[in-house]
Amino acid sequence: MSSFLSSDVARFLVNFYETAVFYYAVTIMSSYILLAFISLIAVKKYVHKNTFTNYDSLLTSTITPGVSILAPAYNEGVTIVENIRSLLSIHYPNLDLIVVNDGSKDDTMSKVIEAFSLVKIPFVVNYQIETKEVLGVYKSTNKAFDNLIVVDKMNGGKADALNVGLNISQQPYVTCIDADCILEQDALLKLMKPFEDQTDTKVIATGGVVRIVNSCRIESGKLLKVVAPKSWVARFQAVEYIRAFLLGRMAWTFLDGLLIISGALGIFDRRITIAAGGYNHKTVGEDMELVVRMRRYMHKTRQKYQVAFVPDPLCWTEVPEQWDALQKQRNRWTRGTIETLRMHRGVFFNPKYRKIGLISYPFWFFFEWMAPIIEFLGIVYTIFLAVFGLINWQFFFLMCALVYSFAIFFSVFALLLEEVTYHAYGRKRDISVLLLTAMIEPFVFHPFVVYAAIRGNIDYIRGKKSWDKLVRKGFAQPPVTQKTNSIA
Amino acid sequence: MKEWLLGYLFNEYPPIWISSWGILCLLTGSVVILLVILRSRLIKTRKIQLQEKFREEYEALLTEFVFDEEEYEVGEEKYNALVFRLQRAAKNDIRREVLVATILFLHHDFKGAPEKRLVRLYQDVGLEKYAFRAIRYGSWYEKAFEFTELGQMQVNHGLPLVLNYIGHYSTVLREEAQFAAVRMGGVKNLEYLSELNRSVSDWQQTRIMQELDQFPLEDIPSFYYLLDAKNDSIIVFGLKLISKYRQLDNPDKMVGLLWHENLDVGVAALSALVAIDHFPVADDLPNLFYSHDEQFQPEVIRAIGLLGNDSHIPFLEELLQRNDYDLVMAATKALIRLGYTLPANTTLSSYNKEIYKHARYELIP
Amino acid sequence: MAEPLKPASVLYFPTLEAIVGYFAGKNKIMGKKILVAEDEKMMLKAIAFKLQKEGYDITTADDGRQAMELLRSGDFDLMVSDIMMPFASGMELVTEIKQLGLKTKTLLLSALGQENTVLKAFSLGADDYMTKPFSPNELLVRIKKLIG
Repeated sequence: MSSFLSSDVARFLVNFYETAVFYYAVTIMSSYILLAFISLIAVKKYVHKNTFTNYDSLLTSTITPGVSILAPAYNEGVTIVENIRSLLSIHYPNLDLIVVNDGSKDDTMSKVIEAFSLVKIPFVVNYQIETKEVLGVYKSTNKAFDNLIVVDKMNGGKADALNVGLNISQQPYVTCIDADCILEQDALLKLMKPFEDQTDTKVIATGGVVRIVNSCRIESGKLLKVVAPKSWVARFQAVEYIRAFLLGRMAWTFLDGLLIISGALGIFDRRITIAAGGYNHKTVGEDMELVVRMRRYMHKTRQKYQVAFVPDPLCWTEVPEQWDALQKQRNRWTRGTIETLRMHRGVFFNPKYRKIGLISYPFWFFFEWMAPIIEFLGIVYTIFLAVFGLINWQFFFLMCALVYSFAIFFSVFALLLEEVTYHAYGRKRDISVLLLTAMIEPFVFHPFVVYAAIRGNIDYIRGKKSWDKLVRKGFAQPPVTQKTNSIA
Repeated sequence: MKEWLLGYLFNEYPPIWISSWGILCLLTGSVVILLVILRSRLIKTRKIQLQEKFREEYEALLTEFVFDEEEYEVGEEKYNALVFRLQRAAKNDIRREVLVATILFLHHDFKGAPEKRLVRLYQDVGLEKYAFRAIRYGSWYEKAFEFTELGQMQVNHGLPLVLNYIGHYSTVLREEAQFAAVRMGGVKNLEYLSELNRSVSDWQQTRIMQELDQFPLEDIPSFYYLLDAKNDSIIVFGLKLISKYRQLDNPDKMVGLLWHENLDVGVAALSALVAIDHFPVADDLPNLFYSHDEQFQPEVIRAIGLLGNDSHIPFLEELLQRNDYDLVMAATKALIRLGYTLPANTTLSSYNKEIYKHARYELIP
Repeated sequence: MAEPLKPASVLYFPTLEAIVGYFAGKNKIMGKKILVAEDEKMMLKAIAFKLQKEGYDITTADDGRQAMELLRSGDFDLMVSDIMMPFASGMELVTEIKQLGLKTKTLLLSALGQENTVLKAFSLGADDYMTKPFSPNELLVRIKKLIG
C-alpha cells in the first residue's frame, strides 16, 4: 500500500487531478463569465433601443409579412379550446393559426370542431417535407375565426406535426408556440423585428426568452402577476432559466453563434426551414437540431445569414415541480443534445462552418454535453483518491470553494441582468428568495441535474427514444389549484 | 494581512493561487453586484412610484386640456397658466420624462384637433430645448429617442441638426434621423435615399410609408427616380412606393427591372406592375417564366392570372401537366382568375382536379 | 309677505314646449348608454372623458371579458370597442351581440387598418370602423350618426 502511495502511478494520478480537471473547470468558468459580460452589454443595448422603438408600425402596416402559428396538439381535449382562444388573441396583423391535431385519442378534434364551428374544406397538401398522412383540413364557418386552420392527421409525434404545419402554411414566416405557454401580447411583433431589420444578411430565425410561470397569477391565459415560484424545484429552475436565456443565449447571439432556439418560442423563415428539411422526428430535441441544420444549409448554399434573439421576457411556461418529472425532462434534453451533436458531428472543428464549427459546436460539445460527465467522473475520481488517501484535502476544499463562489457569482450576475433590464420580479421578497435559491442550488439542484444528465447519457446508449411527456396542469383551471400541485 | 491568506494568494503552485484569487474576486464581485442590485432596486422603486404619480397627474391634466377646447383656449388665461405650470415641471427630469411620454402617447393615438393642440403645447412649454440638449450631449439612445420626439412634435427648426445623422454609421441613429427628417420636412427629404449606399431595412420602409400617409396626395412626388438608386433595397422601396401610389409615369422602366440580377428587385417590380395593372407586360411574362427558377415562377404565373387574357390560357393549361405542386396550384388559380372553368370531359388527373377544387375554394369560398 | 308675481319674470320662463323640447333633445343624448371597451387605460379614459362631456352615459370595460359580461347584463345603445384586447377581441364582442340578438350598435376602433381586417369587421356585423390614430371629433360625428 505504501509503495503504491509513493509510486509514479500515484503521483501521475494526483497530478492529473490537480491539473487537467482543474484547468478544465477554470476554462469553463472563465468562458461563462466572459459570456455573461457580453450579454450584459448586448442586453443593455437592446433595452435602450426598445425605449424608442414603436412596434405599432408593424401592427398597423399593410405590408407586415405574415406569420403562421403552428400549434401541435396531442390529447389536449381539456385545454385546447382555451389555448386556441388565447393564441388567436395575439397582437399581430397578418396572422394565421394552424392547429395540428396529431392523431389525438381523446376528444381534442371534436371539441375544436364544435367550439369553432369548423367544416372540412377542399385542400390538397403540398408534401414538401414528408409527413404522416393528413386526414383533413378544417376552417371555421364563423368569419371571426377565419384565420384559424385546423389540421387532422395521423399520429407521428411533435416534429411530424410541426412539419405538417410547415407544409400547409402559406406565410413567409412560421412560429411554433407550445400551446401551454403564455405569450405576451406583443410577443410576435417583437420577434418579427429582427426579420424586419435585416438588410444584406438574411435572418433565418429569431428566438425568444422563456420564463417560468409557476405560482404566478394567471387568468384565462393572461399573466396578471409575476412572483417567484413557491416550490423549490421551480425556484431553482427560475434562476437557471434567467441564466440560460439572458446570460447564455444573448451572448451567443452577439457572437453570432447561437445554436438553440427554444421549441417554446421562435420564428423561422418558412422557405429556408423547408429547404433545410424541416423538423427531424428522429430526435427528441427537434428544436435544437433544427437551428443547427438551418445554419448548415445556409453555409452550404453560401448565403449570408444570421440567427437573432430577443431578450424580452415574451413567453411564460410551466416547469415541472416534481423531481421525477424534472429528471425525465432533463434526461430528454440530454438525449436531444447528444443526438444533435452526433447528427452534425461534421461541423466539429470544421473551418468551413466558421464560428459554428470552431466555437459554438465545440463549446456545446465540451461544456454542455461533457461537463456533467466530467463532473461525475471527477466525483468518482475524488472518491477513489480519497479511499487511497492520495487526496490533498487543502486543494480539494479550495476547489470546492472556487466552484461554489463561481456558482454564486454567476447567479447573482444573472439577477443583476434581470434587474437592469426587466425586473419582472418586482417584489423585494422575490429577489431575496431567488438569491437564497442561488446559494442552495449548488448543493441540491445542480447535483440533481448532473444525475439526470448522466441518466440521459445512459438511456441514450441503451437506445431510449420515448417522449416522456410532462403532464401539464392546464391554465384553464382556477388559480386555487395552483397551490395544491399534483403532477402525476 | 494574515499570513495564511498570503500563503494562498501568493502560492507558487498555480492551481492554488488561481483558485485563491478566483474565489476572492468572485465573492467580492458577488457582494458588489448585490449592492448594485439593492441600490438599483431602491432607486427604481422610488422612481416608479414617482412616475406613476406624475403619470396620473399629467394624464388627467392633458386629457382635459386636449378635449376641453373651450376651457383651455390657446392664448387664454387658463392655457397660459397650464403652460407656466408645465414649464416649471419640466425642470425636473422625471416629471419631464413622464410629461413628454404622455404628450407623445396622446399625440400618437389621436388625429385632428388634439394633435395640433398637443404640438402647440409642446412647443409653448419649450420642451424642444431639452431635446436639443440631449441630441448634443446625450448618449446614442437618448439621441435616437429625441429624434423621434422632435419628428413627432414637428420641431421643424431642428431639421438641420437631424440631417447631420442621416448617413450615420450607426444603424439606429441613421434610421431614426431619416425617419424624423421625413416627419419634419416632408417627402422632399426622401431624396437623400437615392444617394445612400447603405441598405434601407423593411422596418424603415414600413415606417416611412406609413408616415407618407400623413401627406396630401398632391404632395407625393413620382418615385421613379428611386429606381436609379445605387442600392437594391432602395430600388425595391421605390417599387413599393410606386405600387402604393399607383404611379404610371414609366412602367417600361419597371418591366426592365423584371430581369434584374437581384431576385428581390424582380419580385418587387412584378408586384408593382400588378398593382398598377400594367396589362401589356402579360405577354412578356411567359419569357420571364422560362428564364427563372422555381422560386420566382409561381409569382410570375400569379401575375399572368391578374394581368393576362384568354390568349394566355393555353400556356397555363400546359403548366397543369407539370409535376410541381406550386406551379400547378399557381396555374390553376391563374386560370380560375381568367374565368376558366374545368370542362366536364377534362383529361386532368384526379390529383389535379383536387387542386382545382382547392384553388376554387380559396379564391371563391 | 311674498310679493306678487311680476309678469316680467314670467316672460323669462320658458314655454312648456320649450321645456319638453329641451329635455327631449338633451335626453336623446343623455339617455344613450355607451359601452367603451379598450385595454389601453389612457385611451379608455380619454374616450370616456370626451363622450361624457358630450352627455352620453358611459360604462367602461378594460378587457374583452368584462365587456362581454357588461354586454350581457346591460342594455347599451352603442359599443365602442378596441379589437385587440385580452380575453376576447372586439370581433368576438360583435359576434356575441349578433348572437344574443341585442340591438346594440357597434363601432370598432383599432390600430389595425388592413383591408381584410376592416372587411372582416363589417362582414361580422359591425356598424362602423375607425382606425387609430383617430380624430375624436370624427368619432363623435360617427356616434351621433349611429345613435343620434
